Amino acid sequence: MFVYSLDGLKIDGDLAKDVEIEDNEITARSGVYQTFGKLFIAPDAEAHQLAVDGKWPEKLREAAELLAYDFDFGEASLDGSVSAEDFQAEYIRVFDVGSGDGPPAPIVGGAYGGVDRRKKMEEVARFFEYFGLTTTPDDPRPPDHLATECEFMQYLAFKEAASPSPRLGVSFHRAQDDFLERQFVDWLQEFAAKVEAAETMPFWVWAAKTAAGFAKADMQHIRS
Amino acid sequence: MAPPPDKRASGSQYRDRWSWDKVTFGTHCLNCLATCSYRVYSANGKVLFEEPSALFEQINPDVPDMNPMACQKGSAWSQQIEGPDRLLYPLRRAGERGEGKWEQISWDEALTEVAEAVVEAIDLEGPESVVFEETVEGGLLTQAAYLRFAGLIGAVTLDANGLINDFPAGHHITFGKFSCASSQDDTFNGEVLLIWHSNPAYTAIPYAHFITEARYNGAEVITIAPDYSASAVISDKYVPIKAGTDAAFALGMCKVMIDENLYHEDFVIAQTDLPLLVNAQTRRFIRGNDVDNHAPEDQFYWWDTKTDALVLAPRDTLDPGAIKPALEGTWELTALDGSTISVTTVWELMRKRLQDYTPELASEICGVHPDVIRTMARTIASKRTKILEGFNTAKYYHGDLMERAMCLVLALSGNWGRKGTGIQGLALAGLDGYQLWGMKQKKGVMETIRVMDGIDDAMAKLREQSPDATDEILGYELLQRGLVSGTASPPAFFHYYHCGYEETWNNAEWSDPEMKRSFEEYLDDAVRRGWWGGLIKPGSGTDPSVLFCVATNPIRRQRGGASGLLDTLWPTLDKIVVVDNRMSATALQADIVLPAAMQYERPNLQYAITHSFSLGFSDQAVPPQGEAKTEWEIFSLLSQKVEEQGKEQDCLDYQDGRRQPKTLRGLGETFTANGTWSNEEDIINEWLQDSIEAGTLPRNASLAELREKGQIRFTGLGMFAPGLSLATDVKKDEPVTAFTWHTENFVPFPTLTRRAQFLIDHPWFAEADEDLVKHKNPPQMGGDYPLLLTSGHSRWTIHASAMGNEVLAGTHRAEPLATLSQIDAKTYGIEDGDLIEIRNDRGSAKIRAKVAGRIMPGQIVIYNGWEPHMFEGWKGPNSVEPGMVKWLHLVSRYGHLRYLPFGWQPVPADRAVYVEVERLSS
Ligand code: SF4
Repeated sequence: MFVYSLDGLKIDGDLAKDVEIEDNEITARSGVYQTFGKLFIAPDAEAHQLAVDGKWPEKLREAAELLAYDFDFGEASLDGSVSAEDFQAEYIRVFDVGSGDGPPAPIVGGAYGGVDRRKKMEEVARFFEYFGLTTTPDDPRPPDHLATECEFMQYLAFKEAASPSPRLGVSFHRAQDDFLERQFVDWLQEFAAKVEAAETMPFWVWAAKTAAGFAKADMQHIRS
Repeated sequence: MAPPPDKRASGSQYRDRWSWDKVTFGTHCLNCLATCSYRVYSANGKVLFEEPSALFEQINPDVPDMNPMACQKGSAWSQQIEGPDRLLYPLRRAGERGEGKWEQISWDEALTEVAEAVVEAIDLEGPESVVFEETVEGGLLTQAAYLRFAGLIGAVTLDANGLINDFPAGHHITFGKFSCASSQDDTFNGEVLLIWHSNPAYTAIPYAHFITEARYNGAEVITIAPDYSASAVISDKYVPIKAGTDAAFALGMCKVMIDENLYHEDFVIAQTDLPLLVNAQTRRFIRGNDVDNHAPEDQFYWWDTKTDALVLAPRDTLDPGAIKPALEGTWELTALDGSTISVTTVWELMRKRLQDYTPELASEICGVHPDVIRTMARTIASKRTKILEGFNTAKYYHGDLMERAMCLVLALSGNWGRKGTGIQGLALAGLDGYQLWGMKQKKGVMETIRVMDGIDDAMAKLREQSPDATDEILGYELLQRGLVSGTASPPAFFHYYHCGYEETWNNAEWSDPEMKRSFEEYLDDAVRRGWWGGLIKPGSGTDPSVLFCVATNPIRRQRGGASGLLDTLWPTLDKIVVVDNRMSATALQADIVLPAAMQYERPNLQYAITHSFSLGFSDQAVPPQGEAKTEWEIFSLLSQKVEEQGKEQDCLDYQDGRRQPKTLRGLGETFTANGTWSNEEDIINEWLQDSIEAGTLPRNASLAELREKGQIRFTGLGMFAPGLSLATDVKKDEPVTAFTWHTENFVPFPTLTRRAQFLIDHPWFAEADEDLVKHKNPPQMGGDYPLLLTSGHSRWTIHASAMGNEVLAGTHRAEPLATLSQIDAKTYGIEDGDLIEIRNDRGSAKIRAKVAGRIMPGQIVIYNGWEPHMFEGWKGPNSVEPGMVKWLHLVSRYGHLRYLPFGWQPVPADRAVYVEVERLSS
């Protein structure tokens, strides 16, 4: 019923500074989320080329090399006849704007689960902030965008691995579990189903299903 | 002639009354400290009504749930939002203080004027001349705001429990902590419930159903009180007792338990100091430095009956293991100086003490028939017994003796640390995020963990010095270290040095006749010995200049009456600032009155305590009325103004009371941590997240969850000492039962002897013959008069908070009342409704009489909460209360007897004052 004053207690150190680490199974998880993040950002020419070359699954496998569990990222490539412009246009159609009545598979978590999107975004943004990331108004992507959430998972996993304090490591580990459970895994399953139903390129169906499958498997792993 | 009412129209009006566009959760964050969860229905920015949400989950199919969690004050709360006493805009006094002339001013003017006074006070007298009255009213966001401001400028915050005396000193003396309350649903587990010094049917309405449910479950409910209270009505037995004689009654039962061999020997041996050895002549514990060159002073001893030899009483466990400590016997020891000491046990001393309390002798004191004392002792010794005690004993001069005697009853009958046992009062628990926030410099988990790791490191260092200490003991130690650098101060010193209590507290006739010296001599002695070093604030040579009363009402509540404040303190103050939502008696005597938002007008959290073991949430349903602002906003704006004024008055850098550098530079930014905590939602969110980190809230706890469910049950006791005091594992499907760590895991108590302690071998206690518990009559406070004035919370308001509530006013006589017995009424020629005067050597008050058969002759009851301005000449019942302070509570630095915020400290007594009455008119 009172606030402790521990003015006299000297607390040194800055836990914002990470310790140096070797790659390990946790950084591998971080790497996979990082790759998914890049995959789901509105695609540029480089992303298109990787898709045409069938390199995205490979990139994911590379990132996942030290993963402590097996996950099959499958194979996927984009038909070489699809231009970079069409690739991007399809992304915008399926995920961002649709063709008149909204996108068939919105790429933001707040569009799923029948929740109030504004509240959902607030909740996600609060979670980000508490764990050390801030969203800015000039950021073109909303906090519940799939790429942003993948980046957040990348960040949380990295912070777990590079934590200078065991207790902080546990916090970041728990945060991943909570985030996956409350903000990520469920809507991704719905998202993947909608992408599949959206009559889009098989590449995007693969991408959505693989991301949803990985998130689910990762949550199970974290809990184990 | 008026047209007949249009029935259809009135029908729709009626229906419209019940149409709302918004439903939020609300609780009332009052001194009730309940966490009742209401649904608040509003439309077009107005609250229409509220109703209990009754959403508390049943945690165990065999134990009733908390629902409905409500009372009539809460159910009529919305009436107060637009009540007649509601403050709507800042006010400045336009006449003399208390004259009642006001002018409306802007926030900017008001805050500038307050800031000017604060900076001037800092400049001329130092920051400790800015004094805050602490409060538990208003909820955590209220407290967080002013405590943060006070801490940043280095002001003084007068400890709330030293002001309201809800501190059961006897629990602390016995257990080294006062927070031993289980959650309220544990009441259902009791086989015998003693409603003792409390009246839950009035004062704990949301939880009183557990008493009735326990009766359905076969429990026997016994009310022990001088008056046939509303709680006696729902009891199986009523034991009428003379006011203030409870210690004698309890000790009578203890005598029976020992004489009839009913006591629980193993429990007594493991849990208490009763088997510890004492010097038979001096009644001092045998300590390490009496018998062993290498043992520490705080090592205590048993006599082992198996080996017939002196053995160490372990400090790291209560478990005697293979040792069989003797309770009875005398032995001889050779002291280090070669002399022979005759030793015995505390148990033997206690048995001797209890010779004065045979049921017959106890009965002569307390008026309870000896057979009742015997029967009750037998029942309690054989059943799981819980004492439902409030904070009434704490307000008696010798309340500590009553509480120590109650604890002895529980000790002998093995009644703590099991379901349905113990002593119910109040325990803090759960919201560790709030505590952590006080230490964080910035937002987020990294800072939280930095602080938590820092606390761990500090605890580890302390553990190196005391390897056998428990986390709870080390937690208290850590808290002690931070105290001097904090703002908290036990207010008794402030009252003595600055509020004119010198003459009153030194009145020997109103004090315990066993005092060998004057109060002043004891006080000087305590100060000289440095027992309260660094805690007496403002320090010597500093005059208080600015007084802040935030959601607190000292003019109504001040023990010893308002005159000490108004006549002595007030003239010395440059500025009196009241932040409140209603025009209280203190606001009427202030210079600047700032209107605060009420519950339902802002997000807020209730104090975290064990009653429901849930975090209570109150959301914003409507905007604040008029120009009212939340305390967070008020103190945020004030911080900016103080910084501005600091620049203007060239007073930016200064030293605090400890000569540590302080600055007003960047105060506005620092207050909100550069905008990090700019509003209540941000802060609540941070507290929730940090509490999850500390393990006291479930991982799904969030503002969104609170908005969906209204409350969240805690999951743990956390990492801070006050929470750990509960000493129990929190289970998700069980009521919280305090002290199981002590009984099941043999974890030591945080006392000098590491056991529940019934001998306090401090020389002052010995001199007062209170080293062992005994009964003492209430001292003749107020003079030699025939009637004993007592009090308690009323049914209709929590303190004065609902005094202006018109709905509630319609449920009682709505004017101050003194209730006296029919017999006394006849003696004094008084009839129900007559205006009477109560008076003694301290003062007088005029009040209406209520004549009732339920009051014991010789007693007169005035429930608390009436505002002084409801009495002629502003003289209410506290005009006849001297507010004496028991000198023994000045003792410090004796084991566990040392200051703790909200804990051990000298507190004033306001119950059991002697008065006479006279009928004035009908
Ligand atoms: S005033 Fe207190 S006891 Fe009454 S309903 Fe509100 S929170 Fe509960």
